[in-house]
Amino acid sequence: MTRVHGVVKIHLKDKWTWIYIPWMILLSSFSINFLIAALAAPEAGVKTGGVLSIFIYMMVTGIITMYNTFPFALGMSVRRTDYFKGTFLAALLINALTTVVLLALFLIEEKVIPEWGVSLQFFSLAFLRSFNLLELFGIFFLLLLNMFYAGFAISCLQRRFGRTGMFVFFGGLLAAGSIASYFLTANNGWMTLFGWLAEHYDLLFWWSLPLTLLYMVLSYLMMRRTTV
Amino acid sequence: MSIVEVRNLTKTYDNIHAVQDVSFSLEEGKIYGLLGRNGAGKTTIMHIITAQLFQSSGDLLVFGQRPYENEAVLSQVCFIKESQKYPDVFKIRDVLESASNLFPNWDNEYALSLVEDFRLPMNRWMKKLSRGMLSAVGVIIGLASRAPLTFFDEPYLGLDAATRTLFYDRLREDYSEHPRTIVLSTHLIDEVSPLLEHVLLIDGGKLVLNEDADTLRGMAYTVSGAAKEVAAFTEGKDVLERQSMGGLSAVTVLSPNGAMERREAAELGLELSAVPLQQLMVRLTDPQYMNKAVIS
Repeated sequence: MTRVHGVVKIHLKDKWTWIYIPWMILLSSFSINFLIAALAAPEAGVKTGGVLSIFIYMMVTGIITMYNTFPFALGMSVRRTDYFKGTFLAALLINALTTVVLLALFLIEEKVIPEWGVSLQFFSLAFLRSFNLLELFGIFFLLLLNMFYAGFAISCLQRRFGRTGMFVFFGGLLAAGSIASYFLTANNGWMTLFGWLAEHYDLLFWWSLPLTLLYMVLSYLMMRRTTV
Repeated sequence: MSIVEVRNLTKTYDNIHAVQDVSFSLEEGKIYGLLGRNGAGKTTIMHIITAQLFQSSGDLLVFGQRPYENEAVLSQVCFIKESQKYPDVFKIRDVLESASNLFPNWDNEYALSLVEDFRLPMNRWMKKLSRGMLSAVGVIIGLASRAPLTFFDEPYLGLDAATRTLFYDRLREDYSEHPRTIVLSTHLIDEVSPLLEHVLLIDGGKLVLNEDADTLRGMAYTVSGAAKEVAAFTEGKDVLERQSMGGLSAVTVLSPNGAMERREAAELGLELSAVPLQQLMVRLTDPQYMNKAVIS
């Protein structure tokens, strides 16, 4: 077995971070919404973005997994490159499985038990119904991967540059956001932006891919110089 | 054959010299003692050799190559450190299985027999382990990985005397069956000194001693007897320590020609005894003595 596989196996042993906790959070959000839809039964039904929780948690997984397994792998004489590759394979595998389960729930909600019998739109949100299965797979999978690597890159930044690095980076991000928001407001850009987004939101999913690649490259470059 | 070559290694953190201009080499099939006080720079040196830290300057070759991101080198190295972090959600079983996937020479049967010897609960979470159990897990990885170059950094923290002896016994047995280069970094020198074949002594980030263990054992002796005669005998000699009580005194002398002086002392009716390695190390790293810097 190559040591890249050894790293994949380390991740697969960590089922809590990768699988149990994200699904526990998603399912508890689902249960609450289900109860509201069933008991309160609002006339318009319940439409919720609760499914986002698993995407957000995948970012947390990215942060935690680096913190948990990188010092261990390095301590077991693993090369940084092999750790990176092994983590990538594990992220592909687990996020593909997560996507398949999300799609199954999507189909159940749409076709098998329509809106779970209580007018609850949880997995098959209306704006997603125009996509075919392959597109949906791509959207879920790319977004999960994007969130994972966003978290992973933050963790690499923290390990590589410490508290100062985090402060400078997030300070810079905040400043850039403020400046951009100022210009949008000054030029009445908000309406144009939202108008564009409302029409082209499907493009955003695909544009997450280059962003994911950017996070990966940055993580890798930072990790190459990270010490224990 | 030397498998580690360290040349002028220096590591500086914010103007603090953790390691200063250290050069040495390690040969194949020997047990080394990397000795020194806490904070002397031992761990930093091992971190650099295993490419987990980067040197500020200097060069090093491990198995003839630079170790950084080098699979050929790193797959032959195992570094067990006291501060090793394990994933929060791992049990002992998970850690050992991971190690078995990562070290090419791993002997699983041997690992399991060590788990029994050290009475470790395989299904306990790593974060619930006592300090001693945590150390025992490290010891098992270090032994069962059978890496041609194995470092143990203070491997026995929290282990009781019986368990430490078990470690030394297993190390000795396994080393004789599977010879390799082992570096024991420790400040419990007396306990490991019978195992050591070569000693590197680090103090204040500098290498102050690099000597064969047997030579070292013959380098110093303690002479005791009537104060006057002892004083006469040690006149002009390199004295490490002087103790006196009433009319008697005991003086520890550092001397490369112990054999000749042994005869002299015997003729004077003085008693000569060997100096434990630990005492010698403590003396050699004593700031007062260090200033004299007799050993080079």
